[in-house]
Amino acid sequence: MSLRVAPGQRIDWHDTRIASRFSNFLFIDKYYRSHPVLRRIFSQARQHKFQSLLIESLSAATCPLLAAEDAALRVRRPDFKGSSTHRLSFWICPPDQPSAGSFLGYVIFKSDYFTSPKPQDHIYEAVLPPVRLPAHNNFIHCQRSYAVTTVAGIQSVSGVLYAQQNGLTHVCAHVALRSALACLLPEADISYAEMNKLADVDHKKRQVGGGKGLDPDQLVDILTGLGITHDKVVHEPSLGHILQTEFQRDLYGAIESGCPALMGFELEDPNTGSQGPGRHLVPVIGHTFNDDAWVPEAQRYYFGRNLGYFSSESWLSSYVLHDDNFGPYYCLPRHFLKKDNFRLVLGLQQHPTAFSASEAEAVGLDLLKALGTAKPPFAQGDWYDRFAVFSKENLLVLRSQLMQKADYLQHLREMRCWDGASLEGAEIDSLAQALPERFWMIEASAQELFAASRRKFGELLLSCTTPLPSPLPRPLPRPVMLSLLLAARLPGVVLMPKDGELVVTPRRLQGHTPIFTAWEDTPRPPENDNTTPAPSPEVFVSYAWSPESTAIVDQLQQAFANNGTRLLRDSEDIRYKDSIRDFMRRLGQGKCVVVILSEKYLKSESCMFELTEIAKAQDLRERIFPIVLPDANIYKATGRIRYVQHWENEIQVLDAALKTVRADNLANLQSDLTLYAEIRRLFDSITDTLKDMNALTPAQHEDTSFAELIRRVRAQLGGAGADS
Amino acid sequence: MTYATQQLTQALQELTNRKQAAQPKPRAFGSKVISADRLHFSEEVAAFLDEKQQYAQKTRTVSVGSY
Repeated sequence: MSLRVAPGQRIDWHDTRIASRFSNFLFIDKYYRSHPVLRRIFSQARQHKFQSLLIESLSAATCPLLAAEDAALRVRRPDFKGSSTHRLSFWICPPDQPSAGSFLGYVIFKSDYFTSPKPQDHIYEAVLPPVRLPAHNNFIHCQRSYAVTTVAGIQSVSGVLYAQQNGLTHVCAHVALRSALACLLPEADISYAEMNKLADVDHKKRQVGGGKGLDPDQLVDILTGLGITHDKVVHEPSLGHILQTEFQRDLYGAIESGCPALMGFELEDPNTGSQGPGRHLVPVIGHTFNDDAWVPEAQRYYFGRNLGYFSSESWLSSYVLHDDNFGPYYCLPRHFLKKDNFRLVLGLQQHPTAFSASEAEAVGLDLLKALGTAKPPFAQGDWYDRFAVFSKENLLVLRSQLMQKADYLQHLREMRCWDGASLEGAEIDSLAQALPERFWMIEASAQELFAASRRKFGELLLSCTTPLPSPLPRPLPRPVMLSLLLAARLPGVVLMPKDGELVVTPRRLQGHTPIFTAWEDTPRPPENDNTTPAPSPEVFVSYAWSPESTAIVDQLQQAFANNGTRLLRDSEDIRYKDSIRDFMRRLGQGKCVVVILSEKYLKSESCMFELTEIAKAQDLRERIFPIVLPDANIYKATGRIRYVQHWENEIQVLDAALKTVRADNLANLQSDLTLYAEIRRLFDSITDTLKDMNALTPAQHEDTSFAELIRRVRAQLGGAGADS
Repeated sequence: MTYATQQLTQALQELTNRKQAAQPKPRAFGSKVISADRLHFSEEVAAFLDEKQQYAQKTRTVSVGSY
């Protein structure tokens, strides 16, 4: 039984709002001996706007895992006296008022007592969602969801498990491995006892701590024992093993496929002891991305490093990692760690591959350049020609990742060309028949397509199980290349090898299409998780019934459906006799509302009722996603005044009319007058917010199949958390 | 403008001019086969892969330091 689901005894439930004069610093100084990592975790909870903190104590008597941890400590240190363990959970609600979705995350703080009166403290584990999300260009692909038992019931949190070493029974290698393995193992966690058993650490003859950690062989033993395969990259100058390539590309190749990696480096400590410089291991769990990175161009044109293509890794600005010394979700700038210090990468994989992501990228480059030059039949469109030009000029952007067949087929089903075309079922089926369960996908794009629009020319699929010949002939023979190639989908065509030749079939996707977006995947729960799955996300759309607005809503609905999100619109989601006002109020409370602003909208009583409902529910800027039609004159003060005049006129007309009849039984008409007054009152502040938001034009949205809008909406639906 | 950018710009412009002059092509159906002989591969890529594989093989059992 893990400590996160062990029964706890309530100690307190604090109001932690700043308005209540709660200070993270004061609290941690007073109760948790100024623990610095706990302070970072509290600051992340603060960024998530936590309102309260539940403190529970855990007992070894009711938690066998805690008892086993203490028993191991007793073996390692006979002077071990016992431990005290607290589970601190963060809530976005006042104390004792938990509600659905108000649980934020938790941390388990363990204090171990020895003969010294001062205990040794460490964070046994913590899970909080990342503060930054893909909308902020932060991509953490390997999050898991965890059930957490509290005195307020079973809760759920998603994130990457963080842990600290105690320096006695588990060290930095253990906790880095634990975080990484938590991303992959079915149970989403592993005990230190199990790791130590696999690494042959018994705390007697073979110990860790006191400057002794796990060596790379022991790390590999643990992975092998658990059936986890890995790619290993070593740089050991003292032994003459000098890595000639950039270790960052190997690191990226692992994490871009949705798996974590372990990165080891040597410290520059002036107090180095007789054992030589110390080493540290951290789990790398994601990366940040910068659309405007200078690196790709500068590396090639100013510093002469021309690979013959641009790796998508060039746009990466930081790796996201946990560091047991400092805390969770830190950003390591791509170029900060020099090769002088780098020593080891272990890229973890759930499934074995015959060669790595960077090798797949090289094979992919060779095949793509050959296909660009070969000019196959049917490849006659503008976009194939552009692909060929970029390929010839060594300007393709390539991105390689290990794909599951099901994910790729879903990607094809959702795929829309820039002109709106999609693949037919039979076209997808013919590809499906030729594909194994897993394969390398190398996406091919151009700089402007990839970085700014997240789109591509197409992709090439390679076998991940066919080994490269050894030794490798130069150049690679055609039969070898064709044995690696599964298929290539490029503008207007699909190419597949057959009997030593290439079969070329025309396809309807003549232009560029979106890249694969694994980062929008929902975190996977552990296999024994029994929490209720989250309902499918709802996005509302508020619009005036006009041909132009309705046409945009139709396209929008299709685009959202392609991304697995349901767009709720009045014409479909209000059933016969349902209350229109109730739907409007529900829309007003919606977490995401797309508003299509037009002249008609801004003068419509129903539409403006919806807009005021959205505004009254607060966080307008976060929840509203405007599309501004050309006739909605909100950007100039004179235009907005016209609308204010319109509503003032409506008020006067209705008010005058009401005065002509008896006042009794006119509550509904009076409420209309109140509504008009409310629209008039809120109009200026709402439209001021809307005009200040960078709303793309309808044409820009349509050009990209609403990609940017959908990205932002999905980020908002995710609940919390960019390029730092 | 760098030399490579100039080349790309020129190539894209030539492409555009050719397209504008060309007649619309009829939509093709069915599949066609092209010979693998039309595919030409690079020595540099094979050299990169070879060096990478040799290095991986050489360092596969290296276990230095403790973490």
